[in-house]
Amino acid sequence: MNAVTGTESSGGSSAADGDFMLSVRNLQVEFYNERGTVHAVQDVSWDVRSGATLGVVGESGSGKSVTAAAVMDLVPITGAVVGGQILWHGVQMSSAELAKLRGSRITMVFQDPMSALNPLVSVGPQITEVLRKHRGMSRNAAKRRALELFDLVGIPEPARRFRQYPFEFSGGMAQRAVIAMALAAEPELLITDEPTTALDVTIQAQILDLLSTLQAELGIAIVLITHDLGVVAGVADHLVVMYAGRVVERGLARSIFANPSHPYTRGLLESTPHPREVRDRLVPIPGNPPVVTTILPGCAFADRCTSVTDRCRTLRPKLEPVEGSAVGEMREVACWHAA
Amino acid sequence: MTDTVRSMTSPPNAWARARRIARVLLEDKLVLVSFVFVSIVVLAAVLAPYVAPASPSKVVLIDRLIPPVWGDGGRWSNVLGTDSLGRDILSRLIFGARNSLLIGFSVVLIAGTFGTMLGLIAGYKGGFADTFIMRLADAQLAFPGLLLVILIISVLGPSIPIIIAVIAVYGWMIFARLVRGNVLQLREELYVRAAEMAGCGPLRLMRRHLLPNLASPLMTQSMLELARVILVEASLSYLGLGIQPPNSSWGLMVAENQTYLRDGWWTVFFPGIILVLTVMALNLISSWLRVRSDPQQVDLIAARRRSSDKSRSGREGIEE
Amino acid sequence: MIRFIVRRLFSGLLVMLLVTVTVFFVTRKLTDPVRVMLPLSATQEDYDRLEASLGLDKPLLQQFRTFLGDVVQLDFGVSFWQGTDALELVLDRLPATFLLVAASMFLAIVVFIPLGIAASLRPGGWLDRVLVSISLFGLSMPQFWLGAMLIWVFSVRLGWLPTSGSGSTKHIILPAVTLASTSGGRIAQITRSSMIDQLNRPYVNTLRAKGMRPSWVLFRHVLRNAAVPITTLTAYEAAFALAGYAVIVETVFAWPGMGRLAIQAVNQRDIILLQAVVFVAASLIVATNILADILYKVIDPRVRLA
Repeated sequence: MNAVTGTESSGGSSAADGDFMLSVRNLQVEFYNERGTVHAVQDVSWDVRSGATLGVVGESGSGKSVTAAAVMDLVPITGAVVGGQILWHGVQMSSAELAKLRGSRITMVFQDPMSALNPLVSVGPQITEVLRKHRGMSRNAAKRRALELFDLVGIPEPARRFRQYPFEFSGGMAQRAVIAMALAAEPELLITDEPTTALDVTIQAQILDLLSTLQAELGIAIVLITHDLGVVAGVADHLVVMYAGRVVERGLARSIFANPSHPYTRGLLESTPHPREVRDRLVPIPGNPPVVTTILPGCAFADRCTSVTDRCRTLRPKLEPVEGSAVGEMREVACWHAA
Repeated sequence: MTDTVRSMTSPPNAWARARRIARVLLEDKLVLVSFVFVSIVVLAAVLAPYVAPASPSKVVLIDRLIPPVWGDGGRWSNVLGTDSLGRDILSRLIFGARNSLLIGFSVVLIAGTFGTMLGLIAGYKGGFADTFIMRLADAQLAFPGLLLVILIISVLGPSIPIIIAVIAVYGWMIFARLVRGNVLQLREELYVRAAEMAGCGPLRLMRRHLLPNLASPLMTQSMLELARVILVEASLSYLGLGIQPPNSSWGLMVAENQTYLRDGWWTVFFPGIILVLTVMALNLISSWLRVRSDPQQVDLIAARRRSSDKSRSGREGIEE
Repeated sequence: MIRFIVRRLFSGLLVMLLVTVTVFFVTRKLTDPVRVMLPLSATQEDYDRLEASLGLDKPLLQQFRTFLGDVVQLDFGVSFWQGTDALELVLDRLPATFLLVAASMFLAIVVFIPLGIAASLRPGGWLDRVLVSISLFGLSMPQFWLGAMLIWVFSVRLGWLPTSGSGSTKHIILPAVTLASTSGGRIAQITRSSMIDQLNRPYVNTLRAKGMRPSWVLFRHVLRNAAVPITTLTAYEAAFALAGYAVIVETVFAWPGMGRLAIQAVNQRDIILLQAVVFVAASLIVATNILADILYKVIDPRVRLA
């Protein structure tokens, strides 16, 4: 029972917890500032299955990046995890245990590769240091392996690039280097936070392609966090849609794209340009996503929803299975007016 | 979101911010104490003839080196003692404050005005004017400042206008740099661009949009400069190139009495400690102002405090 | 790189030219140097004689040409007070100033940089607040007063150290500590803020996400990046101390350096000697600035390779 909102959450899906590589259960994260508290994540649960890709979609402020930070025990000093559990292969982890997984079993790729890398150190050593720490390699073995990784992620002239500094790389190539860095420790799970947002559109496609290939070759699980539905479209197996610190819809990605249930998901789809479909006009969702400083009753999307009723404002909907969907699709939505 | 809309149509409200600053001032006691201290010094300097218990220049040789009132042989008519010529230390401190602050404020006023003007031109006009002014500032910074000041004063004589002028010549650069940097940033703000496009002339633009925003950083910098100039003047007076006897200045007091340290530590201690405290107070106030006017910093400090409170109360990050 | 050095040398020369013009203007146009140098009892004959010997009876432009020529040939004339070559006198005192500045920089670096680093790791913590207070105190303290107080405590009352002069290692301690207090305060401040700035950068977050140990992150990455502004500031501090800001400390402790010579020149009304000191100081600043710029280029690969 969530003490703050007084609602029950459905927690994970119907399958047993042990089937999942990573499970987030009822996570709550807060941030503090001069004016009060921001409830960035309020009761979020999702699961990552081995070898599959989970897309986490939401606007800025939805709490998607903060959830990932919590999984890595990287919540900055201005905030704190105040509730929930994180399970790895079905076993609950403390923050100390999560810290041990960090960088070796679970790695992360951030948005802007240029600022993610140390500008004053060559790219090569930034990769070999991972190999030497987590794989115990000698300096020569690490360098050889790093060059192999460069090949794997598609960086040409690896030996030359090894010695260069980040500013000598293009955006796309730098992101490849960052991916190589993330793969160096041979993790089981790769979390990517807006991996393509800082890149040109053509490069975006290349990077997403690379991620799919790597998943097929190495069997790693991937969490793809983004605000852009177009990015997850071909890549994600499962989808989680977040809004204002909560999960509003989740299930098989294909199924959600074909038949979105929550008004917000529908709104996102309608406001995203689609390369192959010709649309008359893009329909934006009116208003802006909220920054949650006080938790109000009712659905957080109420102010912007086209199907809103009084009930929406007074009682918050819980995640419930979508009527009419197959069990295999694992569809759940939190809305009183699910389609 | 409403913030971005507001900033697009009108400049930020300087008065509201000032009121918030005043309210928060009361929360930080150290800064409050500094504020009070500086006010006392300024008041004493302004009201010197009425506040000083005795004449600062009257030589009474029979009363040489009387210790402060709590010492052996001290008396209330010379609360902080007398110096090597029998002059009352407290009175000399007060009149010294008057001289030092006079020079300090004048220099900051002149250098600040001049520097702001040049900074506005450099930032706003850009191009050749900007390069020229900045190169000039850089070149001047490469001069051996103190030595040149010494040279000029020793050649022209240490009168108060000369001292003010010479120190001011070395003070404009920092204001020019500061204003230029701010102007370059402000120019890109939406409401400034909007005003430009609406046909607002440069002078009017500067007056109504740029200057109000510069007020806060200028005030902070002015306080820092005042502190620095007070130190410079004290050093000059110590070297004999500043305020001349029989007038008093804190630096001069130290110079005059340092040979009597053995017999009268108070003659050197008090002028110095007042100097240190005044400069420290000014520094504290200005860095507090700077932190307060940056909302990001304010949040960061508050956030750190609150989340460390949370972790100290024994909450495990991930719980059952 | 070579082009850069040449360009900096060129602008350095330009600065020296500006200094020459300024000094000329001040000593010839703003005042009558002859009257300044002569005692009050001097006669008109003395005046004329000195004026002629200094070449001050010639038209201004010609004077400037001669002046410029002299400067280029490093001929700064004969000291009015001592009667020997002015430049030699200054260069004689230079090593003493060098020694003092080197000692104080060493102290400032060794004490204040580690403190600044430690404080930056826990901003707002007790060490941070203590360090900020100490550096504030050091910055606010007039060096002449600190010197006087140190003399009083350690020489007069305790008798551990000599009051002034030079000659043994004991003599350098108090002056070096005094000089180090102000630079040290500024170095501590910039170390702290540079470290805090780096620690908030995204690449530090990446390093943590890679699971690297905190000590590794600090020493192998953050310190390297933070060092850039710290080294340039330290270089500038050394430059300014060399170029005359050691005047006060040298005067308080009667340390036989360049600064003290300048004050003696002032007291003796020897403008010629004072001029020489100014020139040497200016060249020192320019030289150190150029070296500092080169150092900056070497440390930061972005600047080097771009």
